[in-house]
Amino acid sequence: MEKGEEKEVIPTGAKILAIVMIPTIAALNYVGGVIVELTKAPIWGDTWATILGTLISGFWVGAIGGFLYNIIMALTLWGLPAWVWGTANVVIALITWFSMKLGWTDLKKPIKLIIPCIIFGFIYPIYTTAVSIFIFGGGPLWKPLPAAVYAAVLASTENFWLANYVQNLVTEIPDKIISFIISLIIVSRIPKKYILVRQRS
Amino acid sequence: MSSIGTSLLRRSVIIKETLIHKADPRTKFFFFLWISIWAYIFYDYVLTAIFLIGIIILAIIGKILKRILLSVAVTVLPWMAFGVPILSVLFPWNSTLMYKIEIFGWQIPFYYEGFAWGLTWPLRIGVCITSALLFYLTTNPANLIALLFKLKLPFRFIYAFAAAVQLIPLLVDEAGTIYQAQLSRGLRTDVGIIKRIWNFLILIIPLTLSSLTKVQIRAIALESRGFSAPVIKTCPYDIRFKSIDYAFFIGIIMATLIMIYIYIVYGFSPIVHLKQYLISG
Repeated sequence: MEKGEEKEVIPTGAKILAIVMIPTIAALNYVGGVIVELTKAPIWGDTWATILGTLISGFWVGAIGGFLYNIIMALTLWGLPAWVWGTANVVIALITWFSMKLGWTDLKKPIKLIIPCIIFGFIYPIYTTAVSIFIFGGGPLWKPLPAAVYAAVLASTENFWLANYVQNLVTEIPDKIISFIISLIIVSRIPKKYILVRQRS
Repeated sequence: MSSIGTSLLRRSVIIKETLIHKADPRTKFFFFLWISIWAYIFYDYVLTAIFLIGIIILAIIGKILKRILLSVAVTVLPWMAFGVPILSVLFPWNSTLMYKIEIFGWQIPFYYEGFAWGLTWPLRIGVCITSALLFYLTTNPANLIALLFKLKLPFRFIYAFAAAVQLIPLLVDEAGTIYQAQLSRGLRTDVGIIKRIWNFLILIIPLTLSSLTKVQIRAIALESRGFSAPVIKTCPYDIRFKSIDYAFFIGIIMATLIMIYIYIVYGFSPIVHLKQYLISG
């Protein structure tokens, strides 16, 4: 645009809201981890906002918000390789988005929630297992229960991949399923004016 | 994430007048990337420990040693505490017996391969974490934004990054307020697993609703400053290389040449001579 040239600006309400939602999702993911510390809940608690953001504002907002959270953590507390977990947040947003499009996110129809819970609980950990082995070496986690499961599976099968997968199941099944259900409960209580996805449809 | 880890991010940058603080954020960011990559190229716990000591020396110069040591204490040490004993015994590629110990009449063998694996990976991650903290804790947020502009990242991404970093301490404080309010209303913390998940939910719901309300206010504020206006955005801060940056880059170039030489002549494990496994990285 040349200097002095005037251009009419059309207010982009939903678009700007979506942009502002992205850092909010990243910050909520972080605070989720803090609240887990306060409450001693048996989850990681740092991906629920990715699911929430996808349910409220669509795939891209959830995915970018979740990815941004991991970028910030990689640049601050977790170190460079941790940015890879951002891709896990994109996978979470993708599963949520598909579940939403296929009508599997209705709390009033709990039978339909079984399919996304299975995907989050058993298929998603395949991805996290690959990441944890190739990027982080695939050792035991520093939580007693997953570490004990890891040691038990490794001792009985001598299969490094299986030990990592089962260890991930122990943490991901409760974390992702609880995060998914919690996000659905929150969405059901949010005023409709905040839900950009449904406004568009 | 541990509470120490939380407090590290909440307190954010430490403003001091040291050589590390005076260095350009691009220099520190490049160093962070450079040493993280080298930590992954070599599979040698002694060399990785030397990298970590190098960063700790820089942390002493930057007067952030306490924070750096805290991060090592909450991430690297617990990981080693679980990884070294489990992998020394059970690592599938174990072959070199170091020693045996007797527990309740059982002879438990400890092998070198698993021991080295359990030591090297936490040290690698330790190098990555401490170098990231060295960059983050010594870089003024305004300079951080200027760095993102210099890297020619999309303006909307820069906003999202800056806003998220700014929002985190605000939301953590708000979560604390909500927690205190719920405690005064009789929230019990000494409860079973199901009740703990319920506690998580009753803290998260008001926090989320409050955040969403602020999203609208932020959106209005941004639009009132012409956020969506189709003009080229500028950054009010500028960053320039100084003599300390050039000295730093010369050091990095020299170290790179030495490490390339070591890698070519002695291989990926020059000091402890470990084998390359299928997934050793």
